Amino acid sequence: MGRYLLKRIPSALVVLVIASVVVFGILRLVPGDAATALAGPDASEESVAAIRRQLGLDQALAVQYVHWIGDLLRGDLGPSYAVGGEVADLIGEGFGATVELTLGALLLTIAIGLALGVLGATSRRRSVRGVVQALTTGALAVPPFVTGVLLVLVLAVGFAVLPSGGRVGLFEAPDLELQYLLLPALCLALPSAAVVGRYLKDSLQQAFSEDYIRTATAAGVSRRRLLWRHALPNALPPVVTLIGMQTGQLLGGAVLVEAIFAWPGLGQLAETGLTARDYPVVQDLLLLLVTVFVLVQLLTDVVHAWLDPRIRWE
Amino acid sequence: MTATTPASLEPALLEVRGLGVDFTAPDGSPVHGVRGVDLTLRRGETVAVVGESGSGKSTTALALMRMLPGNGRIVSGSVRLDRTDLTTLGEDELRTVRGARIGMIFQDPMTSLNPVLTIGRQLDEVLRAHAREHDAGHRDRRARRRRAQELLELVGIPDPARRLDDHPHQFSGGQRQRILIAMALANEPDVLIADEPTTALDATVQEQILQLLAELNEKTGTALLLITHNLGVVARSCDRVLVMYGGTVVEDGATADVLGSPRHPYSAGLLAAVPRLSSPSGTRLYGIPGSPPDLSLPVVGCAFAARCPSADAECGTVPPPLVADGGAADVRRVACHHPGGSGVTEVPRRVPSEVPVGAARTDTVDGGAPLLEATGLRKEFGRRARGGRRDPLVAVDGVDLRLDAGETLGIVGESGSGKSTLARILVHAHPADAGVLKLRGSDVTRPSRAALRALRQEVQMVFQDPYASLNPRMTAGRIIAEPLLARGGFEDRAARRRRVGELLTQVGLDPSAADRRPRAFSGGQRQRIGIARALAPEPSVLVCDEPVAALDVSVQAQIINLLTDLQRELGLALVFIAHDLAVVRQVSHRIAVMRHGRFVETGRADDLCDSPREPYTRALLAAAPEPVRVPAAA
Ligand SMILES: Nc1ncnc2c1ncn2[C@@H]1O[C@H](COP(=O)(O)OP(=O)(O)O)[C@@H](O)[C@H]1O
Ligand code: SF4
Ligand SMILES: [Mg+2]
Repeated sequence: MGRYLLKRIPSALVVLVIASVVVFGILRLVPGDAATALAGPDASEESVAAIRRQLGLDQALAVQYVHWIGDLLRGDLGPSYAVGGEVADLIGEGFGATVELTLGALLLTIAIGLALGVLGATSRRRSVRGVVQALTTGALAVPPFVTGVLLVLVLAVGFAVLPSGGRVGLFEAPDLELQYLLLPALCLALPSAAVVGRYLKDSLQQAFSEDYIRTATAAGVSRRRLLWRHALPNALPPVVTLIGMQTGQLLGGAVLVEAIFAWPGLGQLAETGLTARDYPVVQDLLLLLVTVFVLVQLLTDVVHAWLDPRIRWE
Repeated sequence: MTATTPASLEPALLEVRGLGVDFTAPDGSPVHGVRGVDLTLRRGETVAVVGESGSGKSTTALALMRMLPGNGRIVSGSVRLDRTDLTTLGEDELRTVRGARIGMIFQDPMTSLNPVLTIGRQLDEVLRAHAREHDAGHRDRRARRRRAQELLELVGIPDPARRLDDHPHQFSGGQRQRILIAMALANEPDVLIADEPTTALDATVQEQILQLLAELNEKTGTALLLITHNLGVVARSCDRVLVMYGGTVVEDGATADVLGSPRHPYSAGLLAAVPRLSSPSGTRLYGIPGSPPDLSLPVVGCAFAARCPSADAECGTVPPPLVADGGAADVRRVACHHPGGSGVTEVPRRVPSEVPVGAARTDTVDGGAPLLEATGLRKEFGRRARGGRRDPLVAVDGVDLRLDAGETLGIVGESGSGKSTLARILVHAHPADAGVLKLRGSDVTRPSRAALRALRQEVQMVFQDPYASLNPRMTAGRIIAEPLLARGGFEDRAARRRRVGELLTQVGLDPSAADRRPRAFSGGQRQRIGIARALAPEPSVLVCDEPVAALDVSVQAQIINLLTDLQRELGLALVFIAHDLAVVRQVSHRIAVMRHGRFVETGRADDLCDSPREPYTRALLAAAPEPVRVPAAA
């Protein structure tokens, strides 16, 4: 397994390098530069030039890039241009909140997806299979902001059982935080759970039609063990890959959902940073997201290989 | 229980009476897959079930286990195991029968084991499934592991303790079938049902598996119901044989009786269609004319009537019951109004082909230059061994061959011996790494692009699997027209259509078949389409790679006869690759035996089979099962 991981690392590094170049380049391609934005609408040519020089934006792009990466590698994220404060602190604050939301949604995705998939594939009752089908289709068709608003209206405003937005912090008041987390996480998780559920259902149905299930049935293995010990281990590896990919979606989706539920995460920071052309904040933020994404993929591959011996043996 | 069988003192263990199974076709109409099957199995007995594909063998077996697919159900009859009727059991009671009283193994060992679980885990699962009612000792995990190890040892897997932790892909096909047998026998069932357990395996491995089944039957006393379409296998390993046709049993009796003097015209035809290793090269094979009945239609009278040489008016209206034949109680039962009727005895006679063997060759060669000639052909495939060293797999290792117009060269060998790779080199599907390939005396080893196009038409290929090698989206006409377009000269649609019609007629199909897609054809018909496609560019060499391996014996005979007829008509040179020596002997003028990428022995077909020089050839000959020890005259 260690070997397998080692073999994956070079390609992950390449992805990161490319991503850093792209992130860096795209920001410079967006019309309007940081100096102009910082100097304000009425600033003179000279003051803009002065700011530009001060921030090092007059240097060649390659030099700027090398500086940025060099600082990053030393762990120095530097001050923000416009948002105010150190970039590291800004990102640190939002990152915790976003990761919490994403992880919460991920857990819900797995739980709901598993339930939908298993019920959809194995329930002997037609009505149950119908309900599962309807739920998956519904969750896929309705975009998160609509579900978000609906959930808030029903559970927060109508029945007032859950708070409608905001965050108290996981370590300050865990029980309260879970209540705050539930709605945004659910809203974020539903589409992914539907994707995972549907895929798992197909994957299980496929597994159930395979010859080895027939072998086990003929040997008298019970229905329950057929599902959990024989079919599921075969259906799971591709689903794990899918969940890995969905994690990236969740991370991206979190930024949107944060706005609906006033969740103080990276989404808000990204928006402020982008409007102000605050290169350091946006650059570091995007690169961080890409890094997390790459790590998730790496983890996914390892879990997949661990579940499927044929890959391990190559 | 009153013994209905005075011939045997042993009471019936498994008794099937009037079993009927219907499937629901996708369009909602019923298909009567099995109709009124009667079957008796006694303790420790080995019974074979034979019949062409679609005759209901697998469906019967699955119905016994109550494991029919979702669209199939038992519509009539009973299945009694000792006293219990399995057709009325609930899911939980069935579970105590499956694996514990009746074990089952299936055709394809490659897909029948769970790829993500170790062998140890899979055996463990099977043992624990019956731990409660069967053997309390199996409730302990370590005891189960010991038992699993014993089982692997029983079926002949070396080093069982270590191999328990391996996954299926680390075993060969033959070993996987052994493991499946171990799983089926784990809980010591009274009956083992084996549905074509050796069809997917090489001849020598088939032999080993059959031997194992016979040994286990002796050692454990497990009764064996062996489904197969290989009559040679039946002759070798079964006490009794049941012949099925059109979803029902048409003949039932002791193996020696049924194979020695079949009473039902279908049994006789089936037996006559089997190529015999003892028949000399050039013997014409007998194929049962016509095709199997459509089971979605109600059968009026005898299902075989349309193909039967002895059919009369009664056969078309009154279904023949399965009744004792002759005086000897019900040891021998036949479902036929005219058992052993006049037509039957004439049918199985083999007609020697009109052209004597070898004659076609000597007079066609002008100046001695062979049509196709290869020297020192070699092909490697890159393969990386443990530790990253390169360890090439030599698939073809220095093959020399020559082939004249009108001649058939048979190539036999086990899978992996390099037959198909050699075939692909000969048809220029991939280049040889070394050696020289000559066509009509000119070097074509590394042809230019333009030369390659011409070459590919001159040398055509017919594939094993007629299902996989035809594009399901195209009509038969398009499939055959494709090479015509590539060749040129058929830009005119009408001319093309005419030529396609000619080709279809040439391979024994109706020109109207051009408008249908592959799905609408049977296996044999699809192979005919594949042959028509190969003939379209008017090749001079036809390379056939296992052309009949996927077909039933009766159909196999038709296809082989077609190939030999075409060869004579068109003066084709044939390379005929197969693993079945009997087939190869009958179609070939010369035979090459291939092993590990080399020809270990080459010679005239009859000489090679009658007096083989190499030990390997002798081993192959010994492994080829013969249906019956036929009296010397053939
Ligand atoms: N799942 C199925 N759905 C519809 N028809 C089937 C199905 N399985 C088998 N049949 C039909 O039942 C008949 C018997 O098939 P089968 O038992 O597989 O024959 P065999 O094992 O002798 O080749 C065939 O006509 C086949 O088409
Ligand atoms: S003789 Fe009649 S009953 Fe007997 S097999 Fe032929 S058609 Fe059927
Ligand atoms: Mg079958």
